[in-house]
Amino acid sequence: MDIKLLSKEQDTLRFVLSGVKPAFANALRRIMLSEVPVMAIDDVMILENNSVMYDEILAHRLGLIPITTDLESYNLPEECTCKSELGCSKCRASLSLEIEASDPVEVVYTSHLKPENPDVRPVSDKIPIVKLAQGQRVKLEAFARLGKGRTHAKWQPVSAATYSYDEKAGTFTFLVESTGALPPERIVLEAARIIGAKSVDFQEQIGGLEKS
Amino acid sequence: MGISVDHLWNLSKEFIRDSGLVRQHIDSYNDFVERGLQAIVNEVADLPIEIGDYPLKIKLGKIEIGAPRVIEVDGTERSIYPAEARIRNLTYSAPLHMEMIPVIGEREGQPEMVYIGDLPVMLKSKICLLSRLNPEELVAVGEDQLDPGGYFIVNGSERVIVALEDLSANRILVDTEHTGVNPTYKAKIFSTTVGFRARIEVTMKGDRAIYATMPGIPSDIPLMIMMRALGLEEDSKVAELVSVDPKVQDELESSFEKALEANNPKDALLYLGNRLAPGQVDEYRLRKAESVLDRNFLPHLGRTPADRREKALFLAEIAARIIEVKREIRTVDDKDHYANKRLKLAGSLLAELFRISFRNLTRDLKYQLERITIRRHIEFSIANAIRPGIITERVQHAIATGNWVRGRIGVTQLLDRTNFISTLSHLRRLQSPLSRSQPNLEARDLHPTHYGRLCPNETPEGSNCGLVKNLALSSSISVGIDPHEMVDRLRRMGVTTVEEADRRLRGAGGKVFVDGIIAGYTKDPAALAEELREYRRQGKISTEVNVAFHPSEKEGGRDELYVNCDAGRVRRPLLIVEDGLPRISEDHITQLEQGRVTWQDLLRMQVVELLDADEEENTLVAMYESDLRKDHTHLEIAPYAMNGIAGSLIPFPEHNQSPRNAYESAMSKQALGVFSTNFFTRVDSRSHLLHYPQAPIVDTRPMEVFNYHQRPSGQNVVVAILSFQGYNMEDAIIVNKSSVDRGLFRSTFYRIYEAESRQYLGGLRDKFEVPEAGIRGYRGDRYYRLLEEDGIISPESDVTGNTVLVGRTSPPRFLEEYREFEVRGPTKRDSSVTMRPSEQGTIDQIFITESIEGSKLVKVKVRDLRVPELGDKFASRHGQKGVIGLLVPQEDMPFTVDGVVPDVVINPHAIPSRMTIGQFVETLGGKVASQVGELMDGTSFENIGPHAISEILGKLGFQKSGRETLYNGITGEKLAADLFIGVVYYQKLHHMVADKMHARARGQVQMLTRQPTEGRARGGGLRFGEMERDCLIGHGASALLRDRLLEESDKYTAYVCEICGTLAYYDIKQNKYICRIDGEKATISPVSISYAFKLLVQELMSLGIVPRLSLEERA
Repeated sequence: MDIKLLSKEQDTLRFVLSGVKPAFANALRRIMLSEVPVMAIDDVMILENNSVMYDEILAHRLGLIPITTDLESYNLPEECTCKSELGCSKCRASLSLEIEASDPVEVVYTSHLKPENPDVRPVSDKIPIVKLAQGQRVKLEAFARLGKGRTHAKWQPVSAATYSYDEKAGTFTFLVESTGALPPERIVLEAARIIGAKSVDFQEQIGGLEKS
Repeated sequence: MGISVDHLWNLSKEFIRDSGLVRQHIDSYNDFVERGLQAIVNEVADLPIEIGDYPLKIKLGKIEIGAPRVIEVDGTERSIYPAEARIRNLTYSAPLHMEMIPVIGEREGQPEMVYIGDLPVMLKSKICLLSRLNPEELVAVGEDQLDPGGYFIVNGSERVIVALEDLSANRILVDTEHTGVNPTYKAKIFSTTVGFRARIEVTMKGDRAIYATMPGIPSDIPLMIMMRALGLEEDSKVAELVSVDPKVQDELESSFEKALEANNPKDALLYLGNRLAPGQVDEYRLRKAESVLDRNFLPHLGRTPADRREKALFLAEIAARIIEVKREIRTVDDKDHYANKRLKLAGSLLAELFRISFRNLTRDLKYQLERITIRRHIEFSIANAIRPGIITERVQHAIATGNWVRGRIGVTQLLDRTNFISTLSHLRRLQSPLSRSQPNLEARDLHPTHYGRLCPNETPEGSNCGLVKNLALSSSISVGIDPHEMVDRLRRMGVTTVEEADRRLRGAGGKVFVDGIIAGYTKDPAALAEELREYRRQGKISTEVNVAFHPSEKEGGRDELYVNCDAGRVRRPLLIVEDGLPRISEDHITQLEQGRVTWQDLLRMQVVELLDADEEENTLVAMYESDLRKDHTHLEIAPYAMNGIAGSLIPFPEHNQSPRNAYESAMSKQALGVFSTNFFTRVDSRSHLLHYPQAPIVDTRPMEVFNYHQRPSGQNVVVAILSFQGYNMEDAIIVNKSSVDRGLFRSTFYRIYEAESRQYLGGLRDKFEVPEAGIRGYRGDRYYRLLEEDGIISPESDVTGNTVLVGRTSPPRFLEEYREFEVRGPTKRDSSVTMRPSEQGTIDQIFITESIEGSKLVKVKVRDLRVPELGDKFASRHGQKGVIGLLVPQEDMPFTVDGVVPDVVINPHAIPSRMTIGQFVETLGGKVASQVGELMDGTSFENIGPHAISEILGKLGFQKSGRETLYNGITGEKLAADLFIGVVYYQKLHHMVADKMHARARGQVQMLTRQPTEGRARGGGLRFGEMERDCLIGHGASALLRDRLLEESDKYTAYVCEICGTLAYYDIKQNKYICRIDGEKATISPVSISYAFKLLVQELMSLGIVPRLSLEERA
């Protein structure tokens, strides 16, 4: 197996992977899409919302905002030691929003979201959330949690994870484009780690079978 | 060379803007309000009041219509806007006032302005308050600024008067019938005058004699008897009147023979009288005959004895045409030719309705005045004697139900608000009165004269196919002008009346008709036609007038000139061509684009004109400027404007098989989108809203005029064509689950529940409250859990089936009913409004208001989020519909090297047999547009075409074919074949699984038959039908059959007397079953039968039949 870096920008990574079968390359790609955990808003407590946008749409939009992820400090809710449904400071981070429009038309952007933990904040400040008319108010508390793309697309760390396969050379030219939640190289690394962990797990299971 | 496509488009855009998308309704209604109302009043003019010999009459003067307003219960009058009418279930109507002058003898009294009733106001008509507002103001009063208007609001619901396509009135249509040995020749005329329509038929039968029929006389009347009854005595004069051609005159011989018994007017009238009042005295018969002749025969020429001469002339013309057809110097008329069709719009239909109710009002007024004045003598007030309700209620009821005069039903329909397109299309719809149960094959066909007038694609499938049509974008409906002006002008232009015309002129010249009435003869009709057209272009006569020259079709025929100025002709604009060059120049259009001239100015500048189907027969129209030759008279403006609203949505329709475009035209009206921007304050009983609607990336030019980009109803999705594990076979589609997660095709469904607290006789009334436990019909605490103190549910609460939305208690239906059972006397009963059993959602909004009767009215809006799920229906714009067969996670989806993953995967088998190549072209166009960042124009006939698109795609680095290498998302391997992939606009249709899925184990039964109820809303069973029964019989599965049809249905134990076989009854006092026939000696046995069978037995008994059941011991 050989990896050759082609280019690295802030959110995109291109590299050539060779010496593997398509199944392996695809496993890497699939895991990047569906199993590398990132933060996304999962629970929204809407305290006030007299905007034209319904609570469920607002919550859906908030969920789709890419959130910078600190994998070291947070646990997946199902793996967290707190075992509580609400979550604890180790498995959730809150972001709050409180705004009342004073202009005839005011757009609420991600910059208006106030993160509890500065490391868990929207990737961009310029994502519009909702338009408010004068006097309309939105007050809410949103909870971001780690999650996997398999559950919902909002937890996909990548906007594109793809490759082209050169059958003659046996090379896979990968393109990984991050949503910004994690650096692209980190996504690839995590994916590799997950494959590794899965293999170890598999080995243990097989071992268990042999003993019995 | 020539005028660019863009310029021509701007020209036709200006035409559509000038005429507006629903202008036909608004023009027609305005004309009714401005002229029609007064005309109907003038028909009555005076109202004689017969009180002995006291010479009193009421003179009817000016009628005036006010501004839309409402009268509240307390009597206050307030002007209202449509938004309020919708929310409060009011009628958007304006008061009518009429001037009434009592005339005693010759002396006129003081005129009185009297309120005579309300007239519903058409939205955006002249009297509508909205017509004066600019877009910002429209939004401020709660309207969608793009709402077209053209409909009414009656009792809060929006009603459209659908245009009626009728055979044109007062025109002679000759036809042949080949039923017998000899063909018969038949001329039909729908002679129509204000409020009266007489169908006159003139037939040449197998015996070669001509007969006429008319309303009021049951039998055929020989032609010559009619002629003589109309005052013509001499045979030679009659023959001369019919034709100057001796060969034609000869054909009249048999007709003369049939009239030998009556060879003078008096005898002829008596002949008619015999058929009207047989056995009466001569004098009475004469009077009767004269009256029927004047009133029922060709009433459009007048209804007085003075008009008989005119009628004789017309009858002669009819006879002449029949003979000419018979002699084969004239061809039969084409009933389906659009020159012979007229559209009846809101104005003329309302006029019919108003005339009837106005006559009722005057009749009632006369009766009231005669009553009052007899009792109290002379001192009276007209205002007190008038009952405005007569007009108000009659008109409102007709619009609210669609039940028009003369038993016509379905004239109005509830405005379709599925999406913006369905609303517009509904307002431009026409209906043919022809029965949909009969084949009427020719009437359903597309006729060449429909070109540019009616959409060739947009018609429903099935029974209404070809009978329900839609206006093309380029059509315009004439409003009409007074024909008398035209007749006078023609006289001045040298048309000789029939009376004055000499033999030579009648033989060689042409006959001139104005709106079907004979105006006279002219020497050179072709020249006169040209002259009239020139006058029209110069503005000397109205642009509403159209002229058609019908030259003799065969040797020996006659030239005819038709001048049409009636209302309801469908016309279309064309560029005028002179010497092979269009009169219009780039300069004209540039000025138009800059707003320096208007469409109306262009009409005046003599560069464009509107032609009806009749005048179009005299033209030679070039499709494109490059086709122009010397003999062309006109040039098309925009060929694609021949489509209607729905037809114009389809990109590249010329690449599709025609029926696919028809399917799509029907389907686009079911797509979810933004039906109106005021949806927040609207109270439609059900509606849908698409969350993230997108303008199509491949659009068409006409979309601009109906604002499709502002009110779209679909989304652009990446579509690949691949079978993909077979989950998309039989027209299913596979959708990317991650796309759905990201919000693709999410929509909200709204339903409004209404509750009113009514007042009953005796001061009792409903009350909104949380019902107390224990009252009649109490549902149990948990159903009332979400109600607030006022009995109304709180907003944003989540509700499921049967939850109470508005708690309401009502007084008992019949006061005495419960007295004997309940010590406390009558108690209230629960009449709460609950959620439909199969629906759920969130309480969105509550409207609390007051109805017109002053009772409290509550409307609860419930919304339900609809995320696409398995079984929801979608369609592209090419008649390719399908339901979701599988939601696939993104990682399993095929992907391209760029990381593009399709949103939708359709099956390749959907294409070959349907030949929707337009979808391929759209896919390519969408792909190019998405890469270039500009919209792709897919206008029919005027697009850049598939090859040019391919070339651009090639330049962008894609395969020209639109195919791409994709990788299997599951295995990671390259797919063996490249896939065709691109961007296509898809629509979510309103058939969703959530509204349809249903199952039942146990549940309600019908009261009468005790069989399970039918339908999802009533928790019904799934019918085990005849064919299913046959199947079980075939298998011999009798136990299963018994289970389905008896045990699980309406099993009943009947008690039957073994001796006589009749049903026994149970006597409570004796505690046993008794047979009425055999009494004590009866042996009564229980029998298991179906309850429906028990019913049958009893029904037969009620008919006096004794069905006996003979019982046997079970084996």
